[in-house]
Formats: sequence, C-alpha cells, structure tokens
Amino acid sequence: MHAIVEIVQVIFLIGVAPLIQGIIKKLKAILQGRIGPSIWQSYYDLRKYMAKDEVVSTHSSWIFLATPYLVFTVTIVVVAMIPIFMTNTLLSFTGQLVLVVYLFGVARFFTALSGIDTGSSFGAMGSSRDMFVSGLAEPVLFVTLLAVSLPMRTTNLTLLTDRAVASHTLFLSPPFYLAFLAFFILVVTETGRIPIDNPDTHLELTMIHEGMLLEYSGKRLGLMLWSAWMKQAVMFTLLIDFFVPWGISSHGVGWTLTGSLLVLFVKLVILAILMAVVEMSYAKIRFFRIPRLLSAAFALSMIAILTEYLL
Amino acid sequence: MFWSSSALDIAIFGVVICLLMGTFVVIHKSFLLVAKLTGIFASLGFIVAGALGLLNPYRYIVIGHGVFNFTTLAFRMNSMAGFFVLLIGVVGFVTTIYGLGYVKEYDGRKSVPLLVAGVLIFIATMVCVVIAGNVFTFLVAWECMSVISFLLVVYEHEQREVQNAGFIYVVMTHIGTAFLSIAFLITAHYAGSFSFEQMGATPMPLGMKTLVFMFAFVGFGTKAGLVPLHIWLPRAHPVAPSHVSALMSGVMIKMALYGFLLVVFRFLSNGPLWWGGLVAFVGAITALLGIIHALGQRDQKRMLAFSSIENMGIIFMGLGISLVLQSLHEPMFAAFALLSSLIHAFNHALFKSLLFLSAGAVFAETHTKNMDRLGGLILRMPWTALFTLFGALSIAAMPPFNGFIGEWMLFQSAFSLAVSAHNPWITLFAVLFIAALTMTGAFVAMAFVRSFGMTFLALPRSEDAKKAHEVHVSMRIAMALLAGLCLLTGVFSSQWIDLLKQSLSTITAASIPTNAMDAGFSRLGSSHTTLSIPAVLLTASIIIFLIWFVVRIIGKRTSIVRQDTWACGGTLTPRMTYTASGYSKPVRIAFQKIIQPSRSLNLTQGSFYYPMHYVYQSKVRSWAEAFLYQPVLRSVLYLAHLIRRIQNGQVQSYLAYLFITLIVVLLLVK
Repeated sequence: MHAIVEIVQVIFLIGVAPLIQGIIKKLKAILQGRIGPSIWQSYYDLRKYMAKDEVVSTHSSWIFLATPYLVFTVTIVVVAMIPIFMTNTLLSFTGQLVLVVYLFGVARFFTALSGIDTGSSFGAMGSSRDMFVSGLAEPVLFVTLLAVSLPMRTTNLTLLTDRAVASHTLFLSPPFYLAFLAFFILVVTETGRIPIDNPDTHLELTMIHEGMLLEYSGKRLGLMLWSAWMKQAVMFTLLIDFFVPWGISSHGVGWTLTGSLLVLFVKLVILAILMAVVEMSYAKIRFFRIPRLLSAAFALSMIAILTEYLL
Repeated sequence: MFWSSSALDIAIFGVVICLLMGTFVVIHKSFLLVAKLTGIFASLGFIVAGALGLLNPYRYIVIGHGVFNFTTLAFRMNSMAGFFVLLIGVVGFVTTIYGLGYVKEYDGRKSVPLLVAGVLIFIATMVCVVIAGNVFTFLVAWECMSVISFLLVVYEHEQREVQNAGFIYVVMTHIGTAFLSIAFLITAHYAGSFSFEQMGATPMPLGMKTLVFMFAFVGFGTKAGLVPLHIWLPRAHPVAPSHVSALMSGVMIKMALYGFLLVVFRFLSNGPLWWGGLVAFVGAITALLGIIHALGQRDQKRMLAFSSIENMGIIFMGLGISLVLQSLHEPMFAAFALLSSLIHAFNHALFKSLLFLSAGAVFAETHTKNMDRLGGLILRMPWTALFTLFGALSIAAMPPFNGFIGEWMLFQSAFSLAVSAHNPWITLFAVLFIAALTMTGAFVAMAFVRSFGMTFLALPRSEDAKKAHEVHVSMRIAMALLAGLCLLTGVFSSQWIDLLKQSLSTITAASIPTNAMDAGFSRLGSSHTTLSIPAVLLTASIIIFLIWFVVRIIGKRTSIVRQDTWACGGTLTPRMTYTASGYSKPVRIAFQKIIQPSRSLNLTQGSFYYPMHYVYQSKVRSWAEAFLYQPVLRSVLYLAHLIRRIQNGQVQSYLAYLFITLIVVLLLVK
C-alpha cells in the first residue's frame, strides 16, 4: 500500500511540474499587462516537442545524445527521494540530503558538458556560468540545509520532515525566518530565475541555463525542459518540507492522503505566485553581483544557525 | 600469524626484486623487457601482500642488524601498512602496464632503461616507507623515495622549466625531511627505543607532544602539499613523465598521510582540541585554494597537480575532524571520520592516477598539455575519452562513482561533529567546514567539466589535436582497469568500506559502525538504513528503461537530422569555440585577490593605427609565492649579501679571522 502511494506521489510531482511553470508564466504575463499563454501551454509544448524531428550538430558526440535521458532519469530519482505529500519516500536513507544535492550535481555536470559538446560559444558560455554560480550556491545551499537539519539532528529527509511536521513551535523561532529567506534566494538561484538568470531569454549574452539547451531540439529538448521544470517543483517541495510542512501526512492512508495532496497543491500554487511576483519586481542583476546576493544568503543562514545555538 | 608474516615476506621479496632489476637494467639494456615485466609482477605481489596484511592485523618483524645500534633495518606488517601496500600495488600495477606503451614516447630521445629503472625503484622505496619498522629504516626509505622521485622529475633535465621544478622540489622535500626527522627523534627519545613497536602512545609532556605534532605537521604537510607548503607540487608533478606523475600524485603524497597517521595517531595518540582544529582549518584552506588555483591553469597536468593539493586538503580536513572528535571523547565518530579520510585517499589514488594517465595519453598523441589547443578528441580517441569521463565523474564526487563515497562520509563526519558538540562555536566551525567542503566540491565539478570539455569535446583547436588517434593498447588497458575500479568501488561502496575498515585496527580500538553508519546514527535518532548506491542505481535503470520505452516505442517515431552547429550565419571554425581560459574567466575575476590574474596586450607588427599582429598574454600568480616565499627569499639573499662582506679576498683578513677564532676558542676551553 505504502509503495503504491509512494509511486503515486512521484508521478504526481512529475505531472504537476509543467503546470507550475505554466502558472508562473501566465501570472508574469498578466503582471506585465499581457494576456499570455494558457497555463496548460507547457503540456502543449511537450506534446509538440515529442513529435518533432531533431537536428543534432555534426560536431557533437554521444554525450550530447545521452545527456537528456540521463538528466531526466536523475531528476526522477531525486523526486523519488523527497517527501511530497507523504513523508515516506521510495528511497530513504541516512545522508539522503547530500545525495539529493549531488544527484542534481550529476545532472548539472552532464548538462554543462552537452553545452560544450556542440562547439557553440553560447553553450560553453552558459556552461561556464552555470558551473560558476553553482560553485557559489552549493555551500550556501548546504549551510541553509544544515540550519534546518541540525536542530532536527538528521540528514534523512523522511525523518526530517516527520520531525518538522510534529513540531508546532517552528513558527516562533527567529532562525526559522532567516533560514527561510536564505532558502528562498537559493530556490531562485537553482531554478534559474530573475534576478540570477532569465528563463525567458534566448540568444542574449545574459542567459545561463538556456544557453546550454540552445542546440537541443525535438524530443531531447522536451526532456531537458521537463527536467528543469521538475527541478523547480523539487525545490518548491523541499521549501515546503522544511518550512511549511503542516498538512504533509506522516503515516496516513486513505482519505487523509487526498487532503494532504490538495494542501500540497495549494502550497505549490502559492509558491508559484510568490515566485512570479518576485520575478516581476526585480531586474536581472549583473553576473558579477551574484556572489554578493549569495553571500547575503550565506550570512543569513549562518546567523540562523548561531541564533539556534546561542539563544 | 602465518599469513601476515608471509605478507611481509612477499613485500620484502618484491622490494628486493625491484631494486635488483632496477640496477640490472641500468647496467645493461637487454634486461629492459624483463624489468618491465618485473614491475608488473612485483606490483601484483604488493597487491597480494597488501590484501593479506590488511586482513590479518598481526605484526611481524625482520631485523637486519647494522653496525650501530640505531642503524638496524627493521620491517613490520600490520593492517595499516597493508592498506598502503595495497594502494601502492594497485597504482603500481596499472602504471607499469601503462608504461609498456608510454615509454615509446621517449624512444631514441632519452634513455628508456633509466626511466623503467626509476619507476621500479620508486615503487620499491615507497613500499619500504610503509613497511619500515623503526625510525632509521623509515627515514632512509623516505629519503630514498624523495631522491628517486626527484630524479624522475628531472628526467627531461635539458628543459629549463624542469630544472627549476626539480630544484624547488628537492629543496622543499629536504626541509620537510628535516622537520620530520626531529619529530621522530624527539618521540624516540621519550619512548627510549627506535622501534615503532615501542613507540605507540608514548608518554610525553604536553609541550613536547605539541612540538612533535607541529614538526610532523610541517614535515608531512610539505610532502602532502598543504598550503602554504605546496609550491613544489604544481611544478614537480606536471613535468615528470605521465605515469610517474600518476605515481607521485596518486601514491607518493599519500605517504605523507601514512606518516602523519603514524606519528600523530599512533605515537601521540591524543592531544588538545586545537590540534584537530588546526589540521582541519589548514585542510579546508588547502582544498579551497587548491581548486581555485586549478581553475586558473591552462596546462592539463598542472591543473591536475593543483587538484591533488585540493584532495590532500580534503583528506587532512577529515583527519582534523577526527582529531577534534577524539578530543571530544567520541571515539566512534572519530574512527568514522578517520575512515572517511582513508577511503578518500584510496579513491583519490585511483581516479587521480587515471586522470594523469589520460593526460599522458592525450600528450602522447598531441604533444601539448595546453587545454586551449586541444578539443574534439572524443571522436578521435573514444576510449580514452570514456575512461577520462569516468575519472572526471569520480573526482567531481558524482554518484555512483567512488569519489562521492569519501565526500559523503566526510560530510556525515562533519555533521556528527556539529550535532555532538556541546559548544556552539564548535558547531559553527563544523558548519563552516561543510561549507568549505561543498564549495570545493562544486568547483571541482567545474574544473573537470572544463578539463574534459575543453580536451575532448567541441572542435580541435590545433593541427595536432586534429591528427590525434587512439593510443597504444597497453595504455588503454591501464586506463580501463582504473576506470573500472572507480566505478566498482563506488557502486559496491559498503563492501569496499568494510574491507578498508580493517586498516584502522592498529590505530583505534573503537568499533566502527558497520555498513557505513547505522550504529552511530541510530543514537542520533536516525533511521537504520544506510546509503545504498545499488538501490539508487537499480531505480535509475528502471526509470531510464521506462523513459526510453515511453519516448521511443510508444511515442511518435522521429528521426535525427545531422547539421553543423549554427554559428550566427557563418561557418563554425575552431577559433570561434570557447577555450579553457575563457571558461574559467568568471572564477579568475571573482577570486582575483587569490590568483591575481594579469594580462597584457602588445602590438608587435604594424603601427598603432594599422595593427597587424598582437601578442596577448594572460597569467595567474600564486598568492603563497607572492606573499610568503618571495619575502623570505629576498631576506635570505639580503643576509647572504651582508655575510659576503667577510669574504673580501685578502689574506691578511683571513689570518685575522683565524687569530680571533683561536683566541675565542682558548678563552672558552680555559
């Protein structure tokens, strides 16, 4: 029974990921005074990509061809490791937190290689920038995760979320808000949104993640985009797991699960709205200002850890 | 008893054979083939000896009496020595196989027998260091190892760069040896014996202990390439022949780890909290500076040498955390942290050797180590590219490869330190170590995406790279062996950890949690399930099959059209593609305080208004050299100038010196 629910929650997140992207796009369009595409547009796009022939560069190697399948797989493995609407997950063990981050690292490694593989300067430029930003973001990410996981005394996500759900005083402590803010900055960084990266630009010298996807087309482009959306959904879910876990069912079966699924969906939509508003209210910052933003996040989570222990 | 004594016999026999064949091949080159095979079989012997020693934690001593009491030659085998003999054996085996094909590079140009002999003796002396049973044997073997590695570094001594590197190496290594000799002698004095058996947990006053600790740290830190004692490493490692670089980076710098374990963990056994803090701090700084410098390099092997510095930093971070946990009376976690260091050391030996061998393969084909002039080799050298990719994934700590295991364990150790410390400042330090570790990890990924991408992907940026083809089969076999080991030890990590865990039995009595950590972390209230790479891999393979099925079989059939990469309307030429220098530009800018990049643009032909030819240079400097070594060097030279005034070349003044000395001596003797 548990296993079935665990599989269902994985499929749910994979399925809902394009919708979150659609909602953010629609909302951004409305805020910009446009009508914008339908919130289902991401699904239409995926269907279209899956039926198209591909153009692949003659200079590229098997790495370019294999990367989309690999990235997609790795992202799904991560989805199978995080608590979504139930704290139990398909894969669960000590030190899971590290594995989640490193699996995203594998996806990034191959995406960066595929960006170089075609010989296009845009791809290599995006790859260089993405790896650089990740080099700065990774320590901040870990420190923020520690700010959450140290008081819970575990690196196992199931246990961590279990304990977060059980504690009702989380809201009352100041470190909670500091860590939340730091983690939100990281979600923006990891999902490649303004002010770090702009997901809507192409062929501009400012792009980071899109630059690496530039040479992809057809099915492989579809897989790469879907993986990026899934990663976004995973980051949102992690934020929910750590900071607003109430409603996630601990050992529930039956109808309570439906309730927690609905609660989770509402939380995801609220986060999407928040993200769209944040994206609308900021301009993209200069590339070499990113370290400052990230060091602010680092400072926030360090203060969060200190206040937890010193107060 | 029988097994471990035979382990020692095999090891000593291997050493003797290696030394003999090394001598023979220098005397007459008809022994060349035999000598090459000796290297391979002796290494196999070391693998057997190491495995036996590792699994049978008994000791056994062979003593050959010398002229004086302290010049006795003594050897012993225990599980810790077994661990390192195994490491030498594995890397030695692979590099000697690789050497079969690689020495052709030097045929007719240099003396091949000398190189083969050098490698044989180098491996033998390293085994001697590990199985040494007393101070004298250890120091002699250590010195021999340093000297023979120096000779191998200056193998191509007609090049100016090589002479320079060799000089700095030989100076630094002797400074290191001086420090550790003193550390050993002080310990031996208090133990009342030169034998390692009697030197375990020597009772010493704290001041002396600290002195020994600091001397050992400086002495072995020099060999390990810890910042700021690292300056020899990025010079010496790249200029040696590639399989020697693999031995040096993969194995020789691990001898420093062995020595440090021996002195600090065996002889001193416990110390104040700040020892561990210092070691971990220096380790963290080394790791970060190492990788940032690595990103500043264009030379493939120099980049790898800096990455070795970074990895030694990670290993010493683990040692430091272990020492801290030990002084906090957490023996189980301390043992786990120590184990994480050892695992990472072994893994590093595997993947760093692999990467050096692949750099050698690329060099043999293209005759350049400059990444800006390479590219597109994956289509010309597909096997080398695949093995290098395995190495790059391992070193970037990507699951399921073995590099991930070491870093994961280190992360868990630092986490357990953060959780179990009752002092918030220690928690804070642990968190900072984790931040340093992960930052290093992410930049390592960048460095190796850059190195692999710029060498093997995109278009070839020089004629040599265009003409390259696959290397000799022996070189491919060697790389395949290492690549396979990197993957296997990653996937079957729990078995691998269980095997290597034996090596700790000579250092700590604490029971190390089996299967990574369940025992330890159940106390922290974690679940009992531990990291399982096979489970993750199984899930991943099911998923990848499902995706393939859905996309390719159920989905609409589509075809792939091959076209050139779009280059904004033009034809894509190699000069338009990104270079390794360009790739690391963000790092050079963001960390300019540390690597101090400088660039210059000089007009060489034509006038200012009609430029015909420009020369553009960009350089990076080493922070340590600019701020630490240059001032020291300057003051030494200044002192030398002052002292030179005494030597004025007049006979009268020399007579006066003699006269004054005589009077002083007479006064003192009275």
